[in-house]
Amino acid sequence: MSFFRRHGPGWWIRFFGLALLDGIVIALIPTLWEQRATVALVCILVGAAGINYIFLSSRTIPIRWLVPGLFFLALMMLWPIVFTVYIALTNWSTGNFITKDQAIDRLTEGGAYLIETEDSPLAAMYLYRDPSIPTTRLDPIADLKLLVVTDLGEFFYGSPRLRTAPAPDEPELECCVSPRVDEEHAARLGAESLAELNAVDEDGDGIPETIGGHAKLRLLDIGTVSGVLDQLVLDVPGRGQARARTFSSAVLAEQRFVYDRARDALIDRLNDDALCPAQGASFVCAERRVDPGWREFQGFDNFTRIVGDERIRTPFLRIFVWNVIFAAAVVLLQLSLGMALALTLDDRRMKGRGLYRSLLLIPWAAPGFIVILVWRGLLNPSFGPVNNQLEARWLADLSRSTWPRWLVAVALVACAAVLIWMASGMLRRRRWFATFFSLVGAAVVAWFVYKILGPGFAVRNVGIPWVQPGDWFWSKVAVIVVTMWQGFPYFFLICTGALQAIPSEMKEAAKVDGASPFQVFWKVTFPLLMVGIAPLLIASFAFNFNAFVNIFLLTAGGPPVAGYAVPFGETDILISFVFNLAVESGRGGQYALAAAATFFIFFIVATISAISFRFTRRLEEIYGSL
Amino acid sequence: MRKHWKVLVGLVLVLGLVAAACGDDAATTTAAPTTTAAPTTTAAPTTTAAPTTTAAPTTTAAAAPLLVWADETRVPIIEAVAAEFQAATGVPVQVELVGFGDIRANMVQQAPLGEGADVFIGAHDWIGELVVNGVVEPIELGGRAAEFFNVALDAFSYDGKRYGLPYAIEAIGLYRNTDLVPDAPETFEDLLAICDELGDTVDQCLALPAGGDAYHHYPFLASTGGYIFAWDGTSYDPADVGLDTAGAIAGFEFFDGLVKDGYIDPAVDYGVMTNLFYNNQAAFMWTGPWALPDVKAAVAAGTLSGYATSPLPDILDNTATPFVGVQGFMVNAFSEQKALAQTFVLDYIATVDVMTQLYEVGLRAPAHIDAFNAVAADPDVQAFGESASAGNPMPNIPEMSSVWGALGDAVQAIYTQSADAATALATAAAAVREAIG
Repeated sequence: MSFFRRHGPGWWIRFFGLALLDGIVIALIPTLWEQRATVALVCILVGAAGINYIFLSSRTIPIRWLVPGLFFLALMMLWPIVFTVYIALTNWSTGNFITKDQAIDRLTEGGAYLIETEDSPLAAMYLYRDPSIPTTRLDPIADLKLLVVTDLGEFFYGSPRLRTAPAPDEPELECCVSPRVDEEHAARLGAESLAELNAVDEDGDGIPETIGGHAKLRLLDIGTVSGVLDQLVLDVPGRGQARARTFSSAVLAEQRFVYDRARDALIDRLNDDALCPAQGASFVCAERRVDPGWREFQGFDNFTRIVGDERIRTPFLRIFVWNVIFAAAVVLLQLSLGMALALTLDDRRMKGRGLYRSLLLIPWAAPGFIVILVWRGLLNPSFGPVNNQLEARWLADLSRSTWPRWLVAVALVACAAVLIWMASGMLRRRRWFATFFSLVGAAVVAWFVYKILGPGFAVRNVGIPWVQPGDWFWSKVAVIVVTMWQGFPYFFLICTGALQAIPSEMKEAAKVDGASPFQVFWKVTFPLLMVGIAPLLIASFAFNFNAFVNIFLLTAGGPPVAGYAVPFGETDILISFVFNLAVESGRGGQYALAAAATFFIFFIVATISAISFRFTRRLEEIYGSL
Repeated sequence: MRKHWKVLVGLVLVLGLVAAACGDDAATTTAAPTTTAAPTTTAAPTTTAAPTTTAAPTTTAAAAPLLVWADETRVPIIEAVAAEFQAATGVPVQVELVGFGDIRANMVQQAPLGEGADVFIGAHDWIGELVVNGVVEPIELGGRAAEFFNVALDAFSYDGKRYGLPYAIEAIGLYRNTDLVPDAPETFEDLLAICDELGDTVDQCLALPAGGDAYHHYPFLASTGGYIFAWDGTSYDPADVGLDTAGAIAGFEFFDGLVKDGYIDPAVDYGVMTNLFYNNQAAFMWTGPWALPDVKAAVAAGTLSGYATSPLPDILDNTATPFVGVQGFMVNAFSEQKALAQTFVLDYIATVDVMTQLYEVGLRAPAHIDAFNAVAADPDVQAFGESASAGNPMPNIPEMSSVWGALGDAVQAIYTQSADAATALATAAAAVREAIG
């Protein structure tokens, strides 16, 4: 009884947790041992022992709290980073995926590099085994014989070797090596020689059922040799090697390449034993690369290539500028919309605030992959509901109006300017501020009006070209608006929370001092909100800087920009550009190059973030004491 | 306190090193061929003749299962073949469902680690990437090559070797709504005349998946003599890019005219296209046999009043040449049971029965000649078969990866009318040449 009393629930949780861990580790041991994964086995055992020690020893209590965190830090943060660094320093790409040993094995033993003669290399093959040996003790080499029958009727019979075993200098067969002769002669000769080996052909199909006590292997017994079938090689003097291709057929041909370890080169037997030295992660025969190559450590080659490559450097600045505009616009719009909604719903007089708040979370909660594809459909120029509505209600009215078009445009811009001026003017004593904003706002509205009523639009007559294929301006608008729509609930949530943390006394004090509601917002609420939110703005900027999914699914980077050597689109951001570069390179995927390029993006984002954090710290110094 | 720090740092270091070692271990040990059966020991057993043990009727015991990767449509058929194979050989076959689009990358990444499937299905245009990565094993058909269409075998050839057993051939064709258009147009002029006649009675006369889709627009490039990489009969020459040849430009100018005259709407993407056609709102649909199951479903549901298929109409008096895609079975070069895998593919998959069943689920023309003849009465097989016989296989060399984006952008440039045909194609050709270097 005292035992249970002495140990609290924590002890039991620890005990059962460790028991479970150790149980799993012990269960893993036989499997790993079988697979000869000794290093993996050792590291798992060491890790498990370490965890056991930490959680059992009373001297390691502080580390106990850190272990789970460290474990997941290593697994989910450090490991991907280390792996990306490692890849960036290699030549990992199409054609350089496998190790050098594997590549040599492919080249010297693989079926892709056989020298094929005019007669078909494919021959019938039969396996014979000593029936007196039980299956369980069958030695696939010593107890197996191979009979190969070519299309010409030649018989080759003997003991195979493992392909990894060295080839004998003078291979010997038990039967039937004959000079090339006519078919009938070969068959007769073969049958005679086989008869000398006590071959018995019971069914008379020309293939003996038993040869010298060895019985033909049935298809049902293929399982007994399946592990070594690929490894069997029968050396046929003057004809190369026979290798099993299926259970009943073999390829009789010579391998084109031999590897010369001393010179680290291949010998090309097809071309007068020419030497193919290893150069730049592959063998090179007569200045032609031989595939497959291998992956190897390359140092900083990928990084210098990115800096030095014209194809990457020229569009880089253009994409970078748009990338910054995109991320900044998205974050500002998300913040404005989120904050405006949070302020609106913060008013206690409003009914059903909980319902509205939950509904507003939908864009954020809905899976982006689906939502963006839906948006793509909504924004379709000819068939999307967005344009249908705009055309039915708004653009149609405009185009049907009897006023001259320029008058409509001027009226719209003027209205916008006045409205914005009035809104900004709510801030007293800041006339220049209001004027500036109304001018900028009017310019933006004017631009939109021009894009809608201007000449290009009338000619196309397909509605606003958001996507598919899109116009450089409207595609950018579409990408920004959709990304804003997807992310504003985040700021809505944050602002809602932060607003509740602002003491209402401050606002009341401002009101008592005679401040207007707008002044209360701009002078009290907003600065206090920003203290908490500014760091999140930077995080959001970094996040949206790499909003690959939105770009990829909505516009796929399009519409294309003409006049550059590398295909890229108006809405491509750095990460989607790098993606295309990696996938659509000259020759398959360039994963190492892409990994290196992500580092450049990381440093760009990190630099922008670091600078911004200095500003937010200043913000905190100013307003944090309030 | 200092001591704890040392312990902590040491621990992290050790774990890191061990983890790194583990990674290497997984890569090397599993990949090395298991040379377990060294013929050194066990020489004695000849004397112990009588199998005193129960000597189970010589089945399996040691045979590891064969792993097959296939997509959801084909898994049921392959499972049935697998059962047959197991009954005959005693070797179990495990069929795993992997999305068609994932098989390629999974094989490239996992096969060298000894983890890929022994047999997998795929498309012929993967071959280049798979071969240069050393992942796929040649399949020797020997005399059985005569059982298959040459175009299918050529598609699976790379540097003179065949790497797959083809089962289906596909190429785009022309669907028409038989209610609106009873007879197939022979030429593009016929088609446009029909469209003019229909006028506003349909939302979109010719529904074609617009956008940066090089695949569906290839006929405009190739029918008039354009090409992507020159083909010398055995292999493609990546140094000879034919995107900006006179023939290609002529075809693209024709395509440009269709866009300018409003016959093709740039806003119709694949989803819009199928929606229009399935709801009687389009007279023609320009796509491949993969849409057949949905088209039939639309007819059954009554939203589409009737359909028929035909080869693409002639473009500028030339027979239209679409891209031909071939699907087939391939064998993993890193498999430790390649012979068994090839036995499975050549002796159990390459039969008329299985090939016909594969047709029935996918509705793509069989690559196996006898299987094709067995189903050739089907008018859709005839139409798409005819279309494919005029087409060119998609180049299967890895350099093709630089073409999709560049050619797609050229198509987009026509849709946005931001460049004329010659400029758009010159830009694309320059981009491809630049990328290949």
